[in-house]
Amino acid sequence: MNREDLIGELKNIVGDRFVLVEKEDVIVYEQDGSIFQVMPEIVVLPGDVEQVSAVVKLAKQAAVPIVPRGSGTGLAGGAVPAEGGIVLSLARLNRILKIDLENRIAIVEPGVINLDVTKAVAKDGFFYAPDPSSQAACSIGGNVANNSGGPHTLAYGVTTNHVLGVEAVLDDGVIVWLGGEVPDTPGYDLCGVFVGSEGTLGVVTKVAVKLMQTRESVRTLLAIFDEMDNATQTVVDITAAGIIPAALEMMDRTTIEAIERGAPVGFPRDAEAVLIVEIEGLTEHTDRSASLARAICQRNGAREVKLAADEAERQRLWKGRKGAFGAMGTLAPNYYVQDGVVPRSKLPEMMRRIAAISKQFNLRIANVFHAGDGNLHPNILFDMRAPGELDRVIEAGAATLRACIELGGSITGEHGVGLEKKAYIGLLFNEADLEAMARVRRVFDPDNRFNPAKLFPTPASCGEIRLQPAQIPAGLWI
Amino acid sequence: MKLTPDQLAQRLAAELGLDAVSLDADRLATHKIDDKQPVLVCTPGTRDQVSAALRLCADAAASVIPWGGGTAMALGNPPRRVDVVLNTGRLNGVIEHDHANLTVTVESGISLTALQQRLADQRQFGPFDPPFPERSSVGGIVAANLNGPRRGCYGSVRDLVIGIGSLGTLGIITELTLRLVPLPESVSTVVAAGTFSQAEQFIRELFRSRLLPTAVILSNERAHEPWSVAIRSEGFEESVARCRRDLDTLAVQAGMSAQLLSAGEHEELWRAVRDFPLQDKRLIYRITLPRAEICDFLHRAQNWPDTETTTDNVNGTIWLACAPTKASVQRFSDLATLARARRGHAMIFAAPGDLKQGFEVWGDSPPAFSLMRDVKHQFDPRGLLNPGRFVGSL
Repeated sequence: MNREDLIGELKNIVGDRFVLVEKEDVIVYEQDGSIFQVMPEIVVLPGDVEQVSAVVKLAKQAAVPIVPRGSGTGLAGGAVPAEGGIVLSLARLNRILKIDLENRIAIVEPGVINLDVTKAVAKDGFFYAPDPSSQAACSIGGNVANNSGGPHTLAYGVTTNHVLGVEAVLDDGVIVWLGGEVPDTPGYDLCGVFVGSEGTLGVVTKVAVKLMQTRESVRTLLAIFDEMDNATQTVVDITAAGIIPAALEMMDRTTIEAIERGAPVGFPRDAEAVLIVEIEGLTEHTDRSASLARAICQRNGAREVKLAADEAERQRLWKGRKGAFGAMGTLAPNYYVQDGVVPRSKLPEMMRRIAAISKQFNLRIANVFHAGDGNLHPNILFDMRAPGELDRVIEAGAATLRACIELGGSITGEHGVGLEKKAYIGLLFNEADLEAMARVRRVFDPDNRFNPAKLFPTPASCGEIRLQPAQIPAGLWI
Repeated sequence: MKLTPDQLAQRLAAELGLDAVSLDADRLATHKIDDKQPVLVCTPGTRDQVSAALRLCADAAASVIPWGGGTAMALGNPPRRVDVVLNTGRLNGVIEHDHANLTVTVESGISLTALQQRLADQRQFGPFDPPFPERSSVGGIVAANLNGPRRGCYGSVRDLVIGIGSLGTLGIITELTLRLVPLPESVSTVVAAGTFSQAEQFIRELFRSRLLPTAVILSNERAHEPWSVAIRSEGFEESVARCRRDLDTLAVQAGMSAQLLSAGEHEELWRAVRDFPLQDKRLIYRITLPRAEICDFLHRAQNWPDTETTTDNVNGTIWLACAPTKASVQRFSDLATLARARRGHAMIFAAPGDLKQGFEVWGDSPPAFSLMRDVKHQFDPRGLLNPGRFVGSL
């Protein structure tokens, strides 16, 4: 099938308006939140599951790749069409189909925005737990693909712990439910396999998610430290003391500077680190946990420990935390965020290594991360216009991942492997491990057409598809 | 099998050592699966020996039945063939307990009780509640996906490890890393007793409250009233005390009597709940439903004689223990239909081998069955691992 025929057929399926091929239309789909960009050939926006199925069938017939895409907030290049083909946007599948509060389940389409699930049930005292920093923009489908987490992952788990089932379109266009509205569906846990598969197994078209009941009481502490080592040791001690906060987040001096320059919330700019410790549950539980956590902070030399006096003050602390990535722009034109994980017990050592990497590569690194999970987010600050700087940034990023693995950790906590880290996945898994994953892949995607060139290691370099300084076509209104 | 039992035993002994292979009749008799006896029992001592044993068995075209503590061998369809039982009992080490990270890495054959004893030194535990923990192996808990009443609070087996529920049909687990939880400062159980409709109202109001019980179990004996609701609370002293006060109030509002259990009664009750799904000489059904459907389901299904009911109302699981008779097995299709109509599913969780003949104990074929068959084929192309026991006789 030639390109013109393929485009014609796609238009028959979804309608002329929802097949984009002109450069000025597809340019907005050339990137996600990572450092990779590839101009798509064709972008298709189906409106329902039958259209998704027909597009997938057609792609099989035409032997072209399918790259599923949610909101494009991913940080690992997962939605970038590295090998061309069809970018399949799920943005129009954006309905909340069912809310069942008695059974604490919602069924949503993949294009629904994460925060909108919580907004739909908040008035009844419920919430959807996984809360990535991008939750106001990222989609549930993208969260499923990347098994996304968020600050409250510590107590409540990541996406896979909150998905009971998915409806998926398989490579031959068949529509099937994996899992369901209840757990323990007999058979292999294919829903568990699908969550976190980064679009390499099929296209998710419905998701059954768990809803949680809002807790009676929330206590949020801000602890301020003059030494990074004291802050990281506090994280280790809080966990070791048997306190499981709902969230335990850290920001270092450079991140504080970015936040206070961008949208100030009153973090002290002379501190080396601040910790947000949030505890949820019955009032009796949060009172005691908060006082234990405060004592641990003080024992580790915290300069000050403040309890958020009311909901407004609590929201202000979280505004600082969730706005940290956006505020990086106040320090440098570009930033590159990594996503390694170390055992919590290795956090002090890991932060010393990041400081050393920053010195070695002569790059500023701002750390803002899920300390309670040991899930790091070093933001390497740079200017892409400076020749050779991006290469150095990527080397520094790789150095942080190698350090994570040396300390018994992993190369990704929640952002996924995508294009970005496929060269490093061999550091984490041996050939037999990767072969086991490849066997699963072959079952779902024998032609290797779902999001090819992602996740699995390939010898080809990603150098040619890295982000370039903006090239806007002449005459394009943006 | 391409080899005689003696020939296979010799080859295994040559690589794994003499003490890793047994042809002893008494030992074989203790390793029956649904009345089928293996020709030999192999007990590898290391991960590499498991790998070598699987290779030698595959070369000999011998089927392999993985065996941990042997507590869940009644689960699944009767196997098509039983050649070798691979017992993981010697793989019983703790590789690393990183207490500050709340994780532990263990060999798969360690019993849960042995693991909990090691973890208790650091006031931590693995939040699993399978039947018979003193014998149940950690690898077996994971392979059989044995969840207990506290999963709603601490997470299911799937949430606590990676890659589960394949019932030993894809490979043999040799090591696992588990998430741990601090031991709670205080634990207590309140039991409210009353009529079925009182219990129903009580549970509905409990779930509308802000209390966070670690387990809620509705049960009765032989379908007679009274029904009892056991509520387990864990945490700080003052949190547990608060739960007790609020539960008393809720019980009074529902017209039920509430009783705080003594430590001994508490232990006894949770042991009974935990072991219920794998009790001997009973036919056990498991029905999984959206949890608000439980009472309506029971209302329709409860008029059976000689049946005990234990339901996990947090997680939507109903366990029915019936007499091990043909009549009991024949209720399966009615139960499955009732469950399906409520977006759930039903299975025969355990039964004597002869009763399972001719039944697909896992119930209806799941919608993605062809994918499961392909997954099985990718991992076990010759069908030698636990042949026939899993869904659709995989």
